[in-house]
Amino acid sequence: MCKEIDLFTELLRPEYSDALKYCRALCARQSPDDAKDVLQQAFLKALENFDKLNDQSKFRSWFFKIITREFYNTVRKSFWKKFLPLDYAPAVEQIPEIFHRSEEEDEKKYLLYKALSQISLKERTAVLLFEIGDFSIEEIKEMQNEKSISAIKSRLSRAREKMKKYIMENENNNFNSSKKSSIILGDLRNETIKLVTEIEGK
Amino acid sequence: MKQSNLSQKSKENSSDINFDPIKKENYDGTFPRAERWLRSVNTNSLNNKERNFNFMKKYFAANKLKLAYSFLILAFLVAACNYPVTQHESIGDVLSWEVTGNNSDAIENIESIDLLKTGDYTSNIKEVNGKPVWYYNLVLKDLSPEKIAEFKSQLQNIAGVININSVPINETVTRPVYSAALNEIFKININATNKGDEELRAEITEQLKKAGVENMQIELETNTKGNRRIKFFRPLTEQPSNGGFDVTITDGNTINHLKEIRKTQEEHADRFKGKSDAEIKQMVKEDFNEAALTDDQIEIIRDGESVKVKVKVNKSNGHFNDKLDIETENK
Repeated sequence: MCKEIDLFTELLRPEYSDALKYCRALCARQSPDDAKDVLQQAFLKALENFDKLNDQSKFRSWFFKIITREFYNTVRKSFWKKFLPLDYAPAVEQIPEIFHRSEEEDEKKYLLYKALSQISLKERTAVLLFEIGDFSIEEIKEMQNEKSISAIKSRLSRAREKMKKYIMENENNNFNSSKKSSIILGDLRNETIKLVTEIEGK
Repeated sequence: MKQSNLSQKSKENSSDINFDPIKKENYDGTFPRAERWLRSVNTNSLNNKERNFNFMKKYFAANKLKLAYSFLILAFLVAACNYPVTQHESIGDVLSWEVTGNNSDAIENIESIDLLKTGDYTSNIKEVNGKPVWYYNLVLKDLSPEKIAEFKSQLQNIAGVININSVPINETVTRPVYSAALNEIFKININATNKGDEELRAEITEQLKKAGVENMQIELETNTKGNRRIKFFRPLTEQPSNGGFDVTITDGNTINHLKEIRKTQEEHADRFKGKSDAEIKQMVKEDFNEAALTDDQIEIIRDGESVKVKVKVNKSNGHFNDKLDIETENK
């Protein structure tokens, strides 16, 4: 697949942690397993297309772009995922467990993820590329295929405003209700944990 | 990158949202695991096309039954969509009116109306109680209801014009076999070009026979300009209460389209509501244009609000002598 795997891993190492944080936060509405799937697909795509990357200094933005694209693909394909047979086995070996499964234990992180899950995909991508990816507005403009910087600026400010509002609302809700509701939708693990907790509580 | 964008970032980063909980996460510890996986995948795995092909192969193998059902449902849907159905389309309106007596002024005024030229019209003269009555029929195609109303009001303004009626023409669009079966309308197309009268008469009779109509009398007349007129006469006893016929005759450059649709009762459901017996009898007499129709021939049966009218007519039209019983029920 990739002839220069050593070079690939060498370039990936400094970006690895940020890429994982970005991917996990992008999938704020999904489970860690979904984030792992997105990352796995991004890794495979990156390996496949690494030979086409001419400027190694652009590895970071190139890889973040791949993660973003794979995330959009996953969101788009989520409907068809329901039709996969139960005994479906993927053609490649699965990536090992890499994401932490303790987001909901950290109150602040939980609120951030919940607010991120409530804004639009484009807004979420822009704000995370800026905050976690540390990309400039000019770079985000290129990555999001926008024509003007002002479009990104207003998207960022809109996203922040919304997030602020959601964080405040969610904080108040959590203060009033001791039981924290899961933000993750359609995740069997989370649903099972919720059910078990409820049964045990009874 | 980070250095060059520092000023811009500090300016933009005026948000008071604290992303530190996410930023503080550290996944560096899992890199060796991910690296091992990347190396093993790079050595063993297939390219994207092969991956997709394998996936499709497994998917089809695991879902043979589901796919078969899907195919059957799709085939059923395609077949259902192609099943012939009938649709009623309005293709125009027929306006009919009468002019009594030798009212040449009225006829002149009628013929000066511009809208008359937009449709095909026929006029016949009949003698009713020794007086001539002009019967007009005008077929208006694709004309808006406003235009038709305008035309009607123009007719109403002409002295001597009576019994102005408009009936919409609904065409049943479907395959001929269903058209005949479902709507009782038979459709015939005849090419009369270069055909002699007898030859044409034989062809029309033949086609009518195929459509199940046997006692239709056909008359052919050629006027001084050389235009041929084809008349159909059907015995009154054989006129159906519903259905009709649709005949298209092409004769040289002239195309005659004759359509008759009969529907009783429904169209006249409210006609007799709240009317007295005398009023109903007068309406029936006007309907039949029969001045000689006596009150005894019209029988009115009332059952609550329902009115049933029975008319017995001895009609002589020169071709057939028939007795007609008509029942119009108001429900």
